[in-house]
Amino acid sequence: MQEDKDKEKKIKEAMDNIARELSKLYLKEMQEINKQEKQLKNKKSKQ
Amino acid sequence: MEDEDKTEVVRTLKEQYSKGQRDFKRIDLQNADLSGADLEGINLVGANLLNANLQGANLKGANLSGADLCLADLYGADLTSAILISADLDHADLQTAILYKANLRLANINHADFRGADLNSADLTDTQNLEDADFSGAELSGCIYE
Repeated sequence: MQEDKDKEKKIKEAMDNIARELSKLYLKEMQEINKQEKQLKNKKSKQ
Repeated sequence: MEDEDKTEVVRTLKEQYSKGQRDFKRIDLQNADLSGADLEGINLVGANLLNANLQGANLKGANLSGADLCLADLYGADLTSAILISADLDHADLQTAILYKANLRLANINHADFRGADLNSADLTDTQNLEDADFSGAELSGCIYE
């Protein structure tokens, strides 16, 4: 019983970690996209 | 609560705020119109702001932890250094809002609209449903996600 609970807890922790990492990646990607878009806009306005 | 009663709540809140009162924990402001209101440093912990209009409001340093901000209109609002820990921002409109140094830890941002918002140095650690929020054109360069 306790073993099952521990197992469940570990799985939940692992899933939370995956979700956290995915969120981090998503944010990083958004940061990069927005940065590039901003640079492109600046470039266009200078031309 | 009827719209007329809500108008009265808003009027009383603004009056008390102008007298220096800052503590409005758990207040019911569902559907209230607080657009353009100056509410700097207000304590709205656990408040019901469901579908409230806070467009262009000054909420600098406000504490909105655990507040229900589902469908709230925060377009262009100033939330600099605001605390939004565990707040529910499901489908909230935060376009062009200033969230510089805001704390959004554990907040639910499911389908929240952050387009063009300033999230520099904002803390987005463990926000819920982050992937479903719209960050197009938002300033994210210095935001935190530990």
